Amino acid sequence: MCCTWFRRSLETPLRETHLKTGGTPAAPALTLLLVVFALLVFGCAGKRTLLMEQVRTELRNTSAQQALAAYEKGVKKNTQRVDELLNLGLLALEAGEYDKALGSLKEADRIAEERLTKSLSREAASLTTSDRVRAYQGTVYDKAILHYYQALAYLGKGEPDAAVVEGRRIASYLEVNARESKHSYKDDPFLQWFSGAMYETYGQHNDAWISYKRALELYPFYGIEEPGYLCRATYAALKEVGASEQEAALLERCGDVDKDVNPDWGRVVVLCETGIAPQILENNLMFPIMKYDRRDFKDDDERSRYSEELWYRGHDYEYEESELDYFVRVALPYYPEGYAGTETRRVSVRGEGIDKLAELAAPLGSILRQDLNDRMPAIAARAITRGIIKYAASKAAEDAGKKDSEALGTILGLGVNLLGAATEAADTRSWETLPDQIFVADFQLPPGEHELRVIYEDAGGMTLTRYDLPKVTVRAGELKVMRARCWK
Amino acid sequence: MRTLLILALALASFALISCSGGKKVSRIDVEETVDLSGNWNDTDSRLVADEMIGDALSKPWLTNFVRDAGKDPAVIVGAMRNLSDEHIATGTFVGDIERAFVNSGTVRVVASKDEREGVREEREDQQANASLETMKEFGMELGADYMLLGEINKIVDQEGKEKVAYYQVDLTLSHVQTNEKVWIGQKKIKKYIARKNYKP
Repeated sequence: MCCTWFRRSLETPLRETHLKTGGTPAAPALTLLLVVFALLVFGCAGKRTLLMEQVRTELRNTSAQQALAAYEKGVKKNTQRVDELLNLGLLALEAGEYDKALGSLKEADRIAEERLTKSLSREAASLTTSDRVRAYQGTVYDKAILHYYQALAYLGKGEPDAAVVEGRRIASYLEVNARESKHSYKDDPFLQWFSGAMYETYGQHNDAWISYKRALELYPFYGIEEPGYLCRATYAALKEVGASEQEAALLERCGDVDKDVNPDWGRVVVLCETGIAPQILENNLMFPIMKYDRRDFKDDDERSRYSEELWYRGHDYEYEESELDYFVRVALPYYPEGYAGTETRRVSVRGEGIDKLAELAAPLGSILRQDLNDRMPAIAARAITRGIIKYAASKAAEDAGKKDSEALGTILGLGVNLLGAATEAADTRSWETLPDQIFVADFQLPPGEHELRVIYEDAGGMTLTRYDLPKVTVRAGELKVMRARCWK
Repeated sequence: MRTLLILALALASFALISCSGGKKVSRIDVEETVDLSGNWNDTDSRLVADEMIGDALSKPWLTNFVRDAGKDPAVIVGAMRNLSDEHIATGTFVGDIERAFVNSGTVRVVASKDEREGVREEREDQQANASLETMKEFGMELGADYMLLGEINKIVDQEGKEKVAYYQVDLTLSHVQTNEKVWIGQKKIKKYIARKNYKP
């Protein structure tokens, strides 16, 4: 697979190159060396894809421990790659290894924060090679949901106070992101609700109320129906805070929610995660560069603006053959169309005399697609810029070589062309072990011990997975959070 | 020439990226202030504890108690609620407060709830295993006169790569018998944290 795109990439750049024999013997050797070097550095993207495929297969067979072991074997020990640390963290959480999960997730968080300061050398290298050499810091969404998983790991460890801190970090992060993000993902109703739930476990009802209210405001922008439990949670927090002046407005919006809240019962939250988020793949596109297009740029900004124009002009731009100068090949990331991240259509939480329907709370797969769409113009502009630079470099090498001999020029041009083609690759790094969707059942139960199970069903009502939750002791006014994941 | 320059740049970049330096570890003085992330650290914990307890010991409740009771007060340091968005080692902070109290020589500090459990287990063990002369009796514990409770709050104001973190520590000393608050202390720390846009 790696070699297929490599071969394809050579076709167009070589249109104007005519290989001749002769010339300085050292030049071909040098160019060959450079190509081999580039291939060694970039490796084959297929290796990572195969590893993730193995991990996904293990996960679908519900063996999280084996999936973790396979992934640990496939990545470098003490890896400093944020995407790998995120995957390791989540796989360790699935395997019940909470300390390991926290270690990886905290490290990913620390490195991502550190990488806000961009490395000039890496940025420069990315313009001559590929976006893969840029230090990956995770997407905006990764950095938000990272705290959700850290909170779950702390809850798994039996440290609810530390889980609350992660809930607060979600709120802090989203507050800044909502103000400063240029993408459509600014704030998150599911994470705001989760943050509210964490606040409540610590008795911070006022903060919980603020988070719930924010979640209510945000659900319309998520493109899914607002879950019914959100009104109930908001109303209960409002009563705790004593904000009676806002009660009438909430009741108008939420109907008879006041009758649903029993202050003598406890609250149980079951987070039901389903499927696996889509994986980013690489797409190779040819952008036509016309004879009338600009060749000289005042500075890098001007070149970037020009690249963006080319992106919006499209790779399927209709042109006169006689006006075509050359093609720029760019490798771009994309999420495959038609990928079904989960077979699950219905999730319910059952127990003795209990049958609660979990509601869709977070469509992660859609959020990730939207995030990539938002970033695409910038990614594409960089890729086209890179293509133009690589082409200019190959022409310059060819022209420089031709001053000595025709053959040397051809070989040098070819070498630089090969190097450019060999290094061109899309940045397909992502948090690949995230679920595709999260359903939530948030309900009240009378005080006492309860045995609950989560039933995942497909569109035909067939049970995909039955997950028995650990026995839960409910106390009046207390909140218990549990989690179950179905990989199908 | 331009081509060679580009090639050299690309190779140099690879070399820079792939050849990260090894780890360097050196011992430093525990009193030395080192701010790496801008988060709450050991220096904040120590400074806040010393300053606040210094303030508490200079207030009239102490002299009033000594005058009325004719002895030094016994204090128990209770829970410190972390209301910030940082994982703060409240145990270290409680330790710093206890140390400041004990070292003042004017206040007696009673072991915390968890520590007492351990001491009681030891005392129970002594009943079976220690000699009569060295065995300690039950019911002779020092009861605390006052309890210190606290909260750590944090407010963050951030824009782009600049951030101001404002910590506020509130401590309250209450009489165990009467619930009367005899001292309320507050300490604020403000930190400006800026991150560079680029590094080499």
